Amino acid sequence: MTAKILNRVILDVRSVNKSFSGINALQNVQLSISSGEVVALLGENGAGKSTLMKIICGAWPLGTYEGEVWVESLDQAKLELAQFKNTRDAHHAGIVMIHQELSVFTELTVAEHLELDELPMWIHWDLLFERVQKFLDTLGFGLHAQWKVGNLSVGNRQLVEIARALYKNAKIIIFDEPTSALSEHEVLQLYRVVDQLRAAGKAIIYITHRLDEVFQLADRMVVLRDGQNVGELAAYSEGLRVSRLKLQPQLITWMVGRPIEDIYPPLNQIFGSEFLRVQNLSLVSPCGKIWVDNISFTLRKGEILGLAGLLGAGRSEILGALFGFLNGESPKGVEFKISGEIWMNGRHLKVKTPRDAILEKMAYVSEDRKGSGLVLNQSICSNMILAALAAGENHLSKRKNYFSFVYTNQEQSSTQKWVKELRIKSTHLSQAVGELSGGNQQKVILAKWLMTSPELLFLDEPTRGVDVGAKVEIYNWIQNLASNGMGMVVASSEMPELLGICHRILVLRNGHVSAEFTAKTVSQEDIMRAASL
Amino acid sequence: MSSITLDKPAVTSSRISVPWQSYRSVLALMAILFLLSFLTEGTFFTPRNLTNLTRQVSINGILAIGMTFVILIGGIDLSVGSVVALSGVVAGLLQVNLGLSQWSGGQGWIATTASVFVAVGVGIICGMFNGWFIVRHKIAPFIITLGMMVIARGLALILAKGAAIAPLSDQFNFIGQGYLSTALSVFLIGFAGLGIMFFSLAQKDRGLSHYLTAATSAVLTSLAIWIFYSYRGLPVPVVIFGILGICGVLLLQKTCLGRFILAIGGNPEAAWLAGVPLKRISFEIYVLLGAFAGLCGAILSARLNGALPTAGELFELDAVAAVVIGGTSLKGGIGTVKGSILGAFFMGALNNGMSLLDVNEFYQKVIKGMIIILAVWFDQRSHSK
Ligand SMILES: Nc1ncnc2c1ncn2[C@@H]1O[C@H](COP(=O)(O)OP(=O)(O)OP(=O)(O)O)[C@@H](O)[C@H]1O
Ligand SMILES: [Mg+2]
Repeated sequence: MTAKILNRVILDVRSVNKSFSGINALQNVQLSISSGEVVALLGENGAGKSTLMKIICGAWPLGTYEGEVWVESLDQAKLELAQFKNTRDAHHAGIVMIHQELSVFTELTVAEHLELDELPMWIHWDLLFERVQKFLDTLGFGLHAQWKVGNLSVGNRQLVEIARALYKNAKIIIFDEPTSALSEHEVLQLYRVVDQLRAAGKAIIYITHRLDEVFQLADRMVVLRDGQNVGELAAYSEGLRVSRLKLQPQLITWMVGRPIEDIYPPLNQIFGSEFLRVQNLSLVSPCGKIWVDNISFTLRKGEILGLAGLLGAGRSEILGALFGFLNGESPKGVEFKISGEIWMNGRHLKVKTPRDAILEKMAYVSEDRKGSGLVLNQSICSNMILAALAAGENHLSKRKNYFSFVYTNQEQSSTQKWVKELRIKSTHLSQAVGELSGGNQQKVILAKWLMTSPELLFLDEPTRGVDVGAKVEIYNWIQNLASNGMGMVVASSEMPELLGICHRILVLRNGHVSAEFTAKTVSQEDIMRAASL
Repeated sequence: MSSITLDKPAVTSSRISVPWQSYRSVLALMAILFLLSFLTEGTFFTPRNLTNLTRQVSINGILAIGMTFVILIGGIDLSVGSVVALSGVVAGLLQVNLGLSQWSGGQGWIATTASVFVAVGVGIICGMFNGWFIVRHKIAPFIITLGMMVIARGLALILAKGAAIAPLSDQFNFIGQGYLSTALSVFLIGFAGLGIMFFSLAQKDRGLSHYLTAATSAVLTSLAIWIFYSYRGLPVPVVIFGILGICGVLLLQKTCLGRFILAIGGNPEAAWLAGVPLKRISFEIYVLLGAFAGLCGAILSARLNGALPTAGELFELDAVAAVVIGGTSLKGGIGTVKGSILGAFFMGALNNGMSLLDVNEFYQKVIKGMIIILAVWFDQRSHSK
């Protein structure tokens, strides 16, 4: 990559303020961006990144915030004051946001998706497909106009979304944590696309909590803290790339408010006896796809086992099967066939449902925050105590009976403790979790499971969308719990994370274990090789 | 009327958004009471009429309590009206054909208890039928209960051979027509009212809403004492309604089960993953509503001194309307029992007032329908904000 000669400014955010019921989410925030530039927007959970982006792309309409957003006019002559009433207005001005959770129109084809709001009453399918295909070919994403969006992987859906933005001639493209649901391969593809977009003169705002990505992509890094600008850095100085070692400490200090030397705390070294033994675990989907094929492993008390592998290699599926989550009884009702044996403390377990698993003192932080993690319209408090209540944890109510009362004071004090401990940023305990920022939602889930005081903890992408400061806290927690004798299985797509917190790593490929490593002696490349061979 | 004063905000409701959202239904109810008193030049607001009003409201109110739970878990039950008829008919058959209505004295009370239990049992069986198909076989609640609605109606007509079953024993009729003595009534109302005031003021961190609750409770208690003392005391159905109402409010706000119900409605998958016994609870809730419908069947035939196979027509709509007017979301997960009780009073006051005003029965239907639509529309707008 070479240094950029920056072009004209095409977006200028001037002194934006926004508050939610009296709490300031943004205060006097400035942000300007030029064409052909990638700006990484960084900050802790709840710093206001998504809120700022929602203002820019019209999701918070004019009048719900104070301050001004100036956007380049369509004829590229000057900046104009943006007056978006909705996201459509923003589209017309050339601003598109690629959300983390993508398109709901699963039945539409790619072509329809691209022309969504201007489809005629009577569609000439051949013409439509031809027109769109011609455009897609120029992009080189490998998409087909006739594919159904619902059948695509998350990565490809994201590409469809990007293609749509380009089809609409967007000038400013916003990515909000785009890589959190992508496989390694798809991430690389996304990087290439971002480079392409930059070369084509688009302005890109990129929100992420992964610093690797920042140094890979960004020309400039802007940091927010508590809704205010705290600083920004350029990736190039005098035409040369500034080294990561120089930038990273400064960025982290800005984000978190204090320097962090070691992201990964020392590994727990106190092991107990072997207490979990999984034998010949297999998981077959109703249509015959083998997700997990005959996997066996053991776990000692205090040990942290990592599961690595590409997307679809069976990481999450192993955890789901062990926890009884992929059983046909689930409200989603996919009838997986599970076989194999689980022994815990020398006892043969029969785990049919998550409830059984919880009663055996297991806990499972699932990958899908909004799907299976949280009841979004309910309070932090209700969400946090749910699993503990269902498990009949005594300190919340006197008897283990459904009709027993939940004592408000108990409930509040025990959740308050966790809110403090994990530094969950919220206005009050009765705030709906849906209103929290992504990372804070993740912390609520973590607290929910820790409240059941489990002995065996399954973590699937435990730090997805969590900021650096909180990551370090979560890692500390993990080692702490391990040293108190908890066994853990961690599945993650972030290789450095696995290397940093696990004792042992199983690498999966197509549902098989393709290699087993001791984390101390292995490199990221070894794992990649074993995962993708 | 004591139960509507049970006004403690749910633990989950936020301190900031308390006032308007949760007092909206109270305000709507007050508005309609004032309006009707004004329009009827006071006839509406007499102890006699208000006593009748509360008795009329009881049955819909009881159904609305059960329906709240069903709607909260994201379901619906359209069969309640027919189940009311069926269970009433079965109880009637027991009374008339088996001659239970001939038993007198202490035996008469035993016969009455038996009939009520059988009615409730019929309701439970219907509820189990609904629940089993919905929970076990994942068939849409709308379809199953629609089927049940027709089946139960048909069975009622078959069993009753299409005619009314009458007369029933005086003891049995007591549960629909009887009154508690005025002294006992005043004691019960005072007890409930003072209890609510005590609990809302005994909270550690009481806010404005707690004082409001206590004040509302004081006003309503005095009002209720005036109404029931000046006329004939508490009607028996109102007592049953009041007890079930208090239990319902406590169940939803205070118990584990209440939390589970809200979680299931909000996100069944997350609830299931957190270990909530989703199927069992969903099943039991349909059974509970069935039992309530059975009880209402007994009360209704007792009030009419006869079981009609055509009774209870459109009760399901009234119950759903009360729940929705009370602010419960049809998507599940959001709502209160207290709201539904207020909603039932709202519907009852509307019916009663329009009859007093001699509004043509055909127009009454149109007006009622429009009000339901308005309530839902209003509710959705305020939720989407
Ligand atoms: N709809 C809302 N209602 C109330 N508060 C909100 C709402 N949306 C966001 N907030 C609050 O505004 C603050 C900023 O949230 P925002 O989602 O912008 O954070 P973020 O920087 O994107 O964090 P993350 O990295 O965790 O996604 C948070 O404290 C959040 O609780
Ligand atoms: Mg965000």
